[in-house]
Amino acid sequence: MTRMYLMARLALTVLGVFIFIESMRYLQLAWSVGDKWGPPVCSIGIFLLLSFLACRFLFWSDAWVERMIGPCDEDMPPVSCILVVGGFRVALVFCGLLILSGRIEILIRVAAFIVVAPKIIVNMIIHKHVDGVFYMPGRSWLRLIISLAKAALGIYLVLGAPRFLRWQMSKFYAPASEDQE
Amino acid sequence: MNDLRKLARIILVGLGIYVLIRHAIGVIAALPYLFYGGSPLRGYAVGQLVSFALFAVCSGLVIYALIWKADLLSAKITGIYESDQAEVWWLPFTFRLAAVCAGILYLSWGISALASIIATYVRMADPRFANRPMPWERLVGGIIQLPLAIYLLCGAPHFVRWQVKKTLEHCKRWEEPDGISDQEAAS
Repeated sequence: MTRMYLMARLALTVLGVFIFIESMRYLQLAWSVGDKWGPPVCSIGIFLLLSFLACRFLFWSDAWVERMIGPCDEDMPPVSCILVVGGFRVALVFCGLLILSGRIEILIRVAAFIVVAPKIIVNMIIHKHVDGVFYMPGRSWLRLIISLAKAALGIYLVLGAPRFLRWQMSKFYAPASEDQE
Repeated sequence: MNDLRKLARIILVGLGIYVLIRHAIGVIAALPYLFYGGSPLRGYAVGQLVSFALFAVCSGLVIYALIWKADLLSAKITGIYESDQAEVWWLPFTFRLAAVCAGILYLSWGISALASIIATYVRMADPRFANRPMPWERLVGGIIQLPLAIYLLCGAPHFVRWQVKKTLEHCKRWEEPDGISDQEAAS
């Protein structure tokens, strides 16, 4: 992997993450608009298109990268393993920090829910009383689920996205343990 | 090292100016609402003006620190490392740069949230809107965002140290047979 190849891949990864986050907004929008079927279908179409693009950028970006950097220059020295791992981690952590910045409220709500959850569960079991919050409309549930998914993605990225990074690395470098065997 | 310090300065000053312009546009857009007497939107305009004033002070401090005290701050971002770690000296630098950039954006959004809180309470002074308080999670979120921004602006030392440690651990799992990927070798 050359330096230019790595930079192009990093740029596409960052783009993919933000396109994925943007696509979720349209999924939420699909259930927020009125009773007519046109706008929701359009929103779901945009969601599918953006999700597809995000997957292409994140997982199958080889063709895009080759198109971006042009023919491979054989004189360029290959980059070291640490540069690839470090580059991916820095990019993903930065994305995660930006995503999490807008999700602080939902994280606080989750923390508050964890604190009051035992009381709610005891009320449900002993007093057969279901808390009013569970009766909120479907679109509010969807908004909550999407916000939680975004917060989870942000936390995963801030932690360095270990599985995604391992998968990316396995495409270019052989694991040390395999050679030792 | 010197080039990277310059790069850090360029990125940080650029980001600071971008956020300053963003807030200035917000203020200009809010100015007309100041002239609608008794309008609930006056709270919004006051909030925007407070936001701008707070952010102008913070941005002024950041830009002053980056232009007049550039060597001090960029040296802090670049860090000083032992000779045996010379091959990875850039790693903490990039993590710290990413943290400081995120910190500038957090500061911008945190100050907007603070301004929004102030605007809400200004609006609540009007008896017609006294029963419309800000949701508590937004209030707490806005307050938490500022210390987070300050921690990130300081370079998030613990976070960066942990990230560097994890990155080096991750690197140990891989080795490069010839430094070239299978795809490139095939092509």
